[in-house]
Amino acid sequence: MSVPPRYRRVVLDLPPREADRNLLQAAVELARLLDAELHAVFVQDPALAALADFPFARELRLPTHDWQPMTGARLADDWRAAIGKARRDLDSMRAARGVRGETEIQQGDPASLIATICTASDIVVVAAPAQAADRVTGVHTQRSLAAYHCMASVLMLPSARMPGQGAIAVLAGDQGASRAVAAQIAARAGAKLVELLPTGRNGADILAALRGVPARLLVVTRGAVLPDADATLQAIAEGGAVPVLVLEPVAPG
Amino acid sequence: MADSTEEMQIGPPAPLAAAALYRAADLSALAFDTTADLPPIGGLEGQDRAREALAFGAEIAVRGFNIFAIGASAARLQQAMRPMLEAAARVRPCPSDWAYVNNFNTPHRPTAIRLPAARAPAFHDAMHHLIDDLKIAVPTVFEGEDYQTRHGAIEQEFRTRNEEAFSALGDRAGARGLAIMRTPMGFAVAPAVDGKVVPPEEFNAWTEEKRRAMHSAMRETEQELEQTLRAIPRLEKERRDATRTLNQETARVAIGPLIAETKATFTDVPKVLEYLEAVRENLVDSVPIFIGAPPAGEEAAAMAVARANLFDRYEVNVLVTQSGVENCAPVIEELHPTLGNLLGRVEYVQEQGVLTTNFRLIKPGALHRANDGIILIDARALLLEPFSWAALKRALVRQEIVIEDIARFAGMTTTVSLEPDPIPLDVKIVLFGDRQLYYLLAAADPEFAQHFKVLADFDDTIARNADNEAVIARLIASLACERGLPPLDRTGVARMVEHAARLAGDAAKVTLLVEDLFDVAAEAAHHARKAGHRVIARADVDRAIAGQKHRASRIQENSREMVLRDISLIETNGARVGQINGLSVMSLGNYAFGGPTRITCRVRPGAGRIVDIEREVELGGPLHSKGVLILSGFLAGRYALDAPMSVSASLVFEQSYGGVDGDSASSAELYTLLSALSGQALRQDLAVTGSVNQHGVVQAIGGVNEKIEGFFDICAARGLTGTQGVLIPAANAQHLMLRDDVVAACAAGRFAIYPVRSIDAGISLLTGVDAGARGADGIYPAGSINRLVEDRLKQFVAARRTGDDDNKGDGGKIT
Repeated sequence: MSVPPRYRRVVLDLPPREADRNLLQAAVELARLLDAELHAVFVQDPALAALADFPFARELRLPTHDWQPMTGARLADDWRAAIGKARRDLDSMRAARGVRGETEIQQGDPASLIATICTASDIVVVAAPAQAADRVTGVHTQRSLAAYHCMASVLMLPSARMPGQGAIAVLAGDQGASRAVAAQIAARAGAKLVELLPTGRNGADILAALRGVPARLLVVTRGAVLPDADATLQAIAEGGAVPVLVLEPVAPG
Repeated sequence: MADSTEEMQIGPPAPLAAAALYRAADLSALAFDTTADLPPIGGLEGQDRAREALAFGAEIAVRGFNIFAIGASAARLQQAMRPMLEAAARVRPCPSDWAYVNNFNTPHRPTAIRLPAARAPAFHDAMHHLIDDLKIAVPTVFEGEDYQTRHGAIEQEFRTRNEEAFSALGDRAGARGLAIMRTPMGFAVAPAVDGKVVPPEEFNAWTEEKRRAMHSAMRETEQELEQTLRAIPRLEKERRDATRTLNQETARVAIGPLIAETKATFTDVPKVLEYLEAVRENLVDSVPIFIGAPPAGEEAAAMAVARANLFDRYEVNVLVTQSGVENCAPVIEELHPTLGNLLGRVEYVQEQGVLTTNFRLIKPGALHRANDGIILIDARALLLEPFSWAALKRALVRQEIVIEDIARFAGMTTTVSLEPDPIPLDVKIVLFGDRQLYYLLAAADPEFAQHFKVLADFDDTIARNADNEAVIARLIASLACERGLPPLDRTGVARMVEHAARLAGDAAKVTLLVEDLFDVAAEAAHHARKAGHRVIARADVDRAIAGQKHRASRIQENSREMVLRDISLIETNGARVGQINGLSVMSLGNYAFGGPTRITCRVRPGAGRIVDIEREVELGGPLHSKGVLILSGFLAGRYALDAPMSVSASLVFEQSYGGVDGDSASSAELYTLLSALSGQALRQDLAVTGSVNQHGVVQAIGGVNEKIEGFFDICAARGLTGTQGVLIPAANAQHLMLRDDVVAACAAGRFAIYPVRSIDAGISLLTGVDAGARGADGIYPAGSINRLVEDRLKQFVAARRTGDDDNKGDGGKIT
């Protein structure tokens, strides 16, 4: 078995609102297992600040569904609250798991900013929207696409609650770094490493294979799944409620 | 009027022969060397009345015919009854098993299920296995491809509908030149060009018309956004319903065969089948507990416990089972009949600082265990426990066992409790206790007679004959055998039988209070073992009896010492007018001893009243007062028949500082009165006991042996003169079981016991002067006691008539 590539950072793209603890936990755990730093990024969209400058701007606040005037001051308060909560949660989780890292605030286009700050030695964590309503903005899709096509590897998290137990799975015949990385993760997690033998390389076959082997993580090399790989991998993550770690085919330097 | 006393006995009585003072045991008809040769004996030997009552009570199957066994505590009633009750239980059918299961509709009212004897454990195991099987079978079905496919389809369908709704909204917004944006707290709609929000300066540069159109489009999109968001809960509910329906259908497939398999074992118990159907429905509704994804990390352990608790609801709480017990009705004895121990209780466990309970924490009471059988309860213990007596009666009235949580009734606990199904009660209750308790209950509790119609009254004694002496011998043999004592030889057994008579206080009876006999036997065994004897002999028994007496005799010895040191004034020689040695008994716990008390009397003319000083100072009890009043009747009936009584007399127990009761001193008081009136001195070397009636007949009293021995000890300590002795009622002669030293002294003529039938006989002995009987002329002989008394009374009458105060003085106390 080849030596697994060394990943420097796990980059967590925090959602533009209060982050789900499962998402944070998954990112912290991956960083621990790979002995990487956890770099969380909260992206403030300047377009929102611009919208707040309109005198007629208002927002539908959840969960009360009441319309409130949208002002720059209120937006700043809400961002501060969301970031503060995420930072506190992450700090405590990182401390508990012995993971280094920081939480950073960036201003820019949420759809593309993460892709621009990642390198080949990073793993970007992208979570599927927990609520269907989040899809209305289309930002998630753009983010996923940007992350998938950047130099970094990607951890795709399903929207449903993720299993905390089970094996680390790889696909039989996957020639990339996935086997070595999966072995490293399995060893650190005290989990079994299993090899899936799907009848085909499409999403349905892989999902069927996953049902037979309760897994906590599927590690694949980009290109090992066909066709329409990114959408398929996203569907696998969603359909199997199993995080999928998509590694770049060439080991990072 | 002729006096019946005069027909019976006038002259002084002769002392009793030594042989009449102690009746030795006669075991000649019983062939044995030691008690090891004697067959054991049941506890009801000699208790014919109680045995018949128990047999009747145990057999009769009519409501309210419960048994109340009464007798002295030393009779060990429960041990005596138990063999017979167990025999009665053996012919009763084996009772049912009972179990509590969860009531899924109303969990605070657990369901009671009756099962055939010894089947409850099988029911428990079957349910346990069922759940174990379901833990595997249900997840397997739910992990199967069929379920996953259908479930995935449902999820996908609703996800698609949701996403499509929002995607369409996003598309429509885009087509209107708008962007829907996620804010930290919700959503906002903004004017956009190519997906980018239009900056305010650009927007302001738009024409008024374009800006108005944009505002209108924004409001429309905002409304659509709001409506789409509001539709999410409805869609979510539809998704949950669809998933639930799928889960239930899938669960039925998994659960059905296993439930059917379990039901097959209990087709003869409809209640179990009914319960299993309820289990099926609850399982179908509870599928998530089988298929919930196991959590990770720190929550795993807590969640695992919580899930395990969820399965507990299907367990079976076996309350009572006949499994592993003899195939007959139970005989249970409840030594500590608290409410909980009697009716059962609901226990609680602490979970995260909160007290919780469930049907599995229902614990049986003695009535559950004894149901369809017999239960023995100590009546005193029952009455001493708060709420128990009333609860027992309620159970008997309702004929069912209802677990009562008194803490809840009393407001001592505010946590949630249970109201388990009542369990039908059919039990024979045998209360046992002392007689006083029975009579108190009978008098004070109007419901008592309704519930306890059978009285089993245990005798304290039985007649002493050869057969019953043999019974006592075998009883002692049984005790020695049961309690691991060495055997008793013939002499030891004989001494025990004689002691049994002494304990009975009657030479013609023996006690049945086995605990008292055992105490002596155990102590004798101790002495025998210490002396290296393999069998217990008479000497060991003597030593045991002496030891018992010595340990309890501190007060008796102090009292005797006071007499011997002339602090308590008792004379044992000489003669005195109006002064006599009465005898009394003091009981201290299980120990009683007798001793002399000086009684004195003074007389003077008066209104015919005898003053009982003890009563005047409220030291005399009612029986004592009655005895004194009888003296007035005696005087009035015998003397000065043609004139009103004109004597005033005062009677006192000298140096008595405690209460006095009983009428056993009334004959002594009468002797002092006659002495005071006649002026004849009474012998101080004699002591007297006995009550008297208005005709002058001396009547039996209690504690005769102790009284005699008490006076004997004083005389012996001062030196026996050969004239000393005790006057006892003749009726008490049959009770004599005196100590060896007393008997020996009497045999040697150094002490005497005089059986007295009448006051005339007694006064003749005490004064040495004939009492005298009325002649044909109706006059007592000159010089006789009765003549002297009558003359003195006439003088008092005359003195009263003439107002002559010269004769007011007393009769002269000291001669």
